[in-house]
Amino acid sequence: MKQKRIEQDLKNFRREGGLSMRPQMALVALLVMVGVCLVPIGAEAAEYPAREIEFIAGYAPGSNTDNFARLASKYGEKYVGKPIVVLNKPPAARGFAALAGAKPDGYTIGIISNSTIGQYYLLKGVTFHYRRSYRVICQIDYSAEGLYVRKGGPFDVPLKELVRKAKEKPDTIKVGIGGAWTAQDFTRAIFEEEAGVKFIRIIYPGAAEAIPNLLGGHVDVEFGPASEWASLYKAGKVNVLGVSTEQRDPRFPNIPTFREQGFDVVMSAIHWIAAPAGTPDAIIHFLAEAFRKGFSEQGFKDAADSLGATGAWEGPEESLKGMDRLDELIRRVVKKYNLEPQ
Amino acid sequence: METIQQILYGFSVALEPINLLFCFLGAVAGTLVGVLPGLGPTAAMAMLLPVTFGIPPTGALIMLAGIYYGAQYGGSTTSILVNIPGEAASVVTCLDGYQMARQGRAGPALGISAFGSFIAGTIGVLALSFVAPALVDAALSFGPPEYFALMCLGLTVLTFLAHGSMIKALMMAVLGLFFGTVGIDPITGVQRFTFGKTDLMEGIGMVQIAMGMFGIAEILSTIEQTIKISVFETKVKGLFPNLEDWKRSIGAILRGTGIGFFLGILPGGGAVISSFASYAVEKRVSKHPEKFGTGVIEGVAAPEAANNAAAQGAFIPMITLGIPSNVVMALLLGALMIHGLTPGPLLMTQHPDLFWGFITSMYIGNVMLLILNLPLIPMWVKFLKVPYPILFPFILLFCLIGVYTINNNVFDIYLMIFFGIFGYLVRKLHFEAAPLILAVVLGPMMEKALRQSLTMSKGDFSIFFVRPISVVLLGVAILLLLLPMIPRASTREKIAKLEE
Repeated sequence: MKQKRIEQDLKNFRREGGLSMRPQMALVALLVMVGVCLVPIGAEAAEYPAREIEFIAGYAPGSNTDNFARLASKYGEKYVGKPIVVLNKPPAARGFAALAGAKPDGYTIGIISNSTIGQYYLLKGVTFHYRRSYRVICQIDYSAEGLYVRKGGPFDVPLKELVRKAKEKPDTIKVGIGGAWTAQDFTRAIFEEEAGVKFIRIIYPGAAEAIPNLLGGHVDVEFGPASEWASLYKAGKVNVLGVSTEQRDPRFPNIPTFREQGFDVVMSAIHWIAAPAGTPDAIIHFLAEAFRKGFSEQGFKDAADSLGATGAWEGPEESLKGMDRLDELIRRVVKKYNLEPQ
Repeated sequence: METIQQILYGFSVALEPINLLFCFLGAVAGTLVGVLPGLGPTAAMAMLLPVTFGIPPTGALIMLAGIYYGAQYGGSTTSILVNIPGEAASVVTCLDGYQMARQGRAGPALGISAFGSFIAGTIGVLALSFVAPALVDAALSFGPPEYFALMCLGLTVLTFLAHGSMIKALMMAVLGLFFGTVGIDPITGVQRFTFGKTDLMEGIGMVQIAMGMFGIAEILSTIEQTIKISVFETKVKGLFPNLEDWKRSIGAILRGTGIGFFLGILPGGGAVISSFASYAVEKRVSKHPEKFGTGVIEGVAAPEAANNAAAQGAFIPMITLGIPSNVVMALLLGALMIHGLTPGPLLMTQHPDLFWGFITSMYIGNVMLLILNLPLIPMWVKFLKVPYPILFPFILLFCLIGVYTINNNVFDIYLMIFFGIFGYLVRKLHFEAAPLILAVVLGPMMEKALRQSLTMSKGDFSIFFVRPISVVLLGVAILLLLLPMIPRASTREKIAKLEE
């Protein structure tokens, strides 16, 4: 029966022309397809910057990192003197790799973040390393990671109380995380270590899915940057029990830090602008200076603020120091959890 | 009463000439990117985002939103005319829309999709203005177990999509589930089937698959049939839907609107799933389900209404909670934030001009789109008279450009071509593409929800049966799978009687 049907199918296949019919037309179609893949790109050198600068963001349009890339380009291009064009090349690893592999002539720069440092240890096949593959130009912003709960929910209690509850019944409190081994997941890992607790870790692809689950009571606590919770906090939908900065955020003076509550958790999600390794000093300093001017405008600070972060320019040297600090933290977690590139 | 006052205030903002202009520009741009295959609203909005930095936030938001819902109108055009979904939510429209075009009924198909989109869009905005806060609570009651149950229900739609062999449809679905696993596992961060290629880390995009399996495959098989027997010589019968068409479609449009609006509120691929779901519902309630797939107008009206209503529903989590339910919403939020505004629950009270101006602009935008789209129909239909040898290189070119703009990645072009050739081959063997695409959409969401649920319950499967919403959804899914057995039995009896 089956045999018969297969034979029938094959017969239909042949009768309707199979593959052999009109090979020349198929060839035309293929040629059009191939032709489009081979568009040449020309470039010449002149006084820097002679043309627009490409700004690679390894994230989808509208994502937090993309918003900062666009913000930086908007305020930077005025002082650079040429347009800075944001080019989205998701996923992150592809964007980071594209930046690392770009020509170091100052016409390709990009946004890098905690993930750039972390993926080196976590993602199989990754060759980019924050020190070897890039030259950092400047920091754009940093943002604290907060631990937040549903307002009025069973876990809307002081942090110490939450930790006590977690210790009393280990492995019962559900924590929602917007992405495996992102800055917020690292914060969670460090917090669990410092507080001596263990949560049930539920991973969501992003905050957009994690937050409704917190509000709906499907998970109990969540870690995430201020960009995710700031508006909900102001509207009284969530309560933030602690943040991972060293000092309290002046925008949220009532939110205590983890450190002042006795948990030594200091971690920030940071965005930097970087160029491929080998980009000349003069270009790095020219761009760093241009962005410094742009980022000191009030408009930049306000916009960064509404994106939930603190706009804070830092020059190449300080930025590199900040990366080193993060690298150390990340390596600590990687070692503790025996994480391997996957 | 207060709402009505606010809406009137909103109209005063939206009717300012400059905002009308932005609304119009957005609607035109949206229609355009919707019509061009592959070039979706996301790419267009990302490209236009820097332009909006220079204009006031209200205008920016109105224009960007116009692109978004405008694309939902335009997306069906190429689905109907040349069997190429302009964007993912229009895949289902291909099934009956293209068949209608082949029968010379491209006009009514385009007409009903424009009217359906208009009706759904308008009802959607009304619902958005009046019942948004209540609906968001309903959406929040969906946790991972409820999602899993909903996806199970979604998979039963498969049984309605197939109009050939059920076994073959299921085979394609399984293959689709497999394609859905490619990429970085969202739960553990492990790479699956990526072969070390960063291009595959985010998985295989549904648009690439849909454009390949519908668009490229269609081009290849039309070429093979040569220029002689082509769609385009069939006589065009009527440009607009007639009374009979309306009678058959109006119920479909309303049901599609309801399904679309609710699924649109839930984060994830609301518009796409709702278009499939509404198609299945129509087939279920129809008196002649066997005709679906051969060019019935309900098969066009329902999914088009659903994807437009979903587009409106998706605004709810954004405006009430500041949570984007899809990429387009994330872009809108980003635009607001770069203007220094914080989206979220307080937007309504802190910036009422922006909030209500934006909402009411959508009423105006929907009217504009209808006016814009109806006169275009005769033009689109004429476009079918262009000889295929001239037409196909252009379609191909737009497909190639469109698929590239999704991620600025040449690899996506290869993917589309691969799926084009694959689609062509399986078509020869009478496999259908739609079940595969549905599975690619549902698979990853279903897997994620299942694993999240089981993490929550520490591996206990009873979590799906103790939560009321999930148990009801699972029950409906099982019921839907069992139902077809009953009519089949009765037809068998009939056949037996006839034979006697």
